[in-house]
Amino acid sequence: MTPARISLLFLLLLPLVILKAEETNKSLLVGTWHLNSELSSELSPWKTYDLTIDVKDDTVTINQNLTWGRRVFNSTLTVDTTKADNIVPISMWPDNRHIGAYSYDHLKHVHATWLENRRILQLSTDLNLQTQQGVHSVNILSDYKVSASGSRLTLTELRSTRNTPLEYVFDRVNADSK
Amino acid sequence: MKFYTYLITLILFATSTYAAPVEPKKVDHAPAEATLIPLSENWLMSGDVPVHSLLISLQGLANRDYPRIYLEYPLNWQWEIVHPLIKFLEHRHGVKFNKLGMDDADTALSLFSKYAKGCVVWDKNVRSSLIVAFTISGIEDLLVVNEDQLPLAQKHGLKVVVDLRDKFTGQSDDVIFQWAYDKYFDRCSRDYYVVMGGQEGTEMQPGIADFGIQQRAFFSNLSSNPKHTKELALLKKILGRQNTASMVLGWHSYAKDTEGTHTSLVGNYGLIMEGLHNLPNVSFTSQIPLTPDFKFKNNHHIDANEKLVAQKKVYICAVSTDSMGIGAWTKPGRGKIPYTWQVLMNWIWLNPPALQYFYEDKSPNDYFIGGLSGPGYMYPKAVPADKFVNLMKVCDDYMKRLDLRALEIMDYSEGNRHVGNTDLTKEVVDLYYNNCPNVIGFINGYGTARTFDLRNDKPMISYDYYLDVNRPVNEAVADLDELIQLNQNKPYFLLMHIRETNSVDKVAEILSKLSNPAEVVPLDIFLKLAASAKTYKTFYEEANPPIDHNL
Repeated sequence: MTPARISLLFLLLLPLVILKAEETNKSLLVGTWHLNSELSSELSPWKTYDLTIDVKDDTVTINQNLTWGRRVFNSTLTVDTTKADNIVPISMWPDNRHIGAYSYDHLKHVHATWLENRRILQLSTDLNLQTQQGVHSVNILSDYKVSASGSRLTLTELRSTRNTPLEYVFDRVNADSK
Repeated sequence: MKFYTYLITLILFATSTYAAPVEPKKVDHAPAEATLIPLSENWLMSGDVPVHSLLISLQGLANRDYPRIYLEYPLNWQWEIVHPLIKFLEHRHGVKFNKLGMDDADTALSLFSKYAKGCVVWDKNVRSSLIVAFTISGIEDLLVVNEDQLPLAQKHGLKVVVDLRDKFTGQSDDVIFQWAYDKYFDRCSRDYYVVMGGQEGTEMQPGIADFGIQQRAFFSNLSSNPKHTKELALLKKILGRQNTASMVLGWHSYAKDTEGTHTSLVGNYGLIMEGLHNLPNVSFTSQIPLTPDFKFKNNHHIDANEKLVAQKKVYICAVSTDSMGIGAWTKPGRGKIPYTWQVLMNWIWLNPPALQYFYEDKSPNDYFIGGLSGPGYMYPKAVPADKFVNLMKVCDDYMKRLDLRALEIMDYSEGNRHVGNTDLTKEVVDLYYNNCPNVIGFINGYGTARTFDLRNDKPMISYDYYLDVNRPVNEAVADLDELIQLNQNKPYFLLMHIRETNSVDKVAEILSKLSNPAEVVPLDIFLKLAASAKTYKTFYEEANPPIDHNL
């Protein structure tokens, strides 16, 4: 094969290589998700829960939107899956507003891992909660798992301080259903 | 010497007197007979609101100088004590009720039309005209009717005195209520103002209107929302002209503003709020004295100055704040576990038989405390300090009369249980400690809050848990277990707020399923134990706190 032919072949295969690489990076998690409250742990004090997830290379961005009527909480979590520790600023701890536990230093440390060819994202989060007796360190294991069809996302959370897991089931919001 | 004695007396008088709500006069004893008129479940403007408004206005006029009419609101009425109170008035106060047919305005007018001097006609096409008609009814002694009811009014000799038909067509509420203000406000009560809010649009539940009419109050549903600049300006003018420590009755409009903005605004003026727009029959009950053999007596478990020593364990206290009247009192389980109930203290003069009913109906496990933040419902951070001192004198008096030793505080002027903050500043905490000398302690919050303190053996403990009405038992159990995990020092003082319609049965089930041992105690014991072991850290509202004005 002449060098010219090799170059031509390379040029022809290059788009396929790029496409394959993009496919490898892509995750079924990407998209907008709306909580299916009938299938989920009870959410109060919030009524609705939406997630928008984006993945670019090694960076995952999760937008969280919780509402109860006019009361709204929005947050954005951006993590680099290659880093052992992502330090993320937080305004408050919205997970359970029924209990007297509040963000202490307004930071959380997050380690993210991809599993199953990016079908599952696991987050291990460490944060300090302030209670009436002082500061308590808490770890939260969050498992974002997409169904094989890609239409359903199950978020399972194990909190080191809680005896029972929390499970939130989301349905994909299609662009045409928006 | 005489001069100094006079001076000291004057100083003592000046420091001991304070502005307080004007209490309606009581009759010597409950009436031997009264008329009972059942009302239907339909509260639609296009349904039975017209006949209900007619009957409520007739009630306010007929009851002006004597309790004659009691309306039997439907069983699903939010204030669920209507029916138990009928039985209580019969058996304990000796009232014999003569019951009419449901919504029977014709018979009611046969009996009581003499208390009206004519009628005011509201415009069926302009909802707010009915609210204006309530004001006019009280001022001019007129029956409230719409045009469909004119033949009935005429049958009973009531002629049209004021006709609001087509008067407000196309006008906004700020214009409508400005007209009412210009024409009637000078003659309205400076002791009572009625916010005729709550449900909006196609529905209205004007349960408090009989009392407003009886007292010649000004009615409106003006908005406290800063977006509604014209309505808010007029509302401020109204509140600013009311007497010091006078009453704001009723509730904010669900469609215009929020509980947070409304309560904050009322607090700005140092007024006292009794916040239930559908609180019924007050023109009747406010005149009924307590029976001579009755005295307010709480279930204290310990002397006020006694001390206890906490053991190294978890103490839980369950407090129900909305539920004396609109929640759990009549639901299953009461008496099963120690339970603390917040008393609406204004009822001592506004609704004495209702309070007598609760005090006599309590089980040995029911313990009463005062609230909410003072006399009525108020947010202390919104009340100017000088007005706060006056209100706390009223509060102190009510607490003594009602045999209450603990005060519950709530402040949603800068947040709620979702966002913002619900904490008290150190300055506000100072005010409570300085102006409530007779309490054994305070509790704070509605949702959870972070304010904790201990001074002179009197703790201030915030709620660590809020039991949502919809929270399933298993999740609530996990929540409480998690709190115990998060607060590992013993004793741990876990104060839980039970929201409205949660039954005592549900709370008892939750507490029985905890994986951690805990002792459930009433609030007086809880506070005494918390005074003995300060495992909680002193905390006030932080600098630069998150703020949400509940808009």
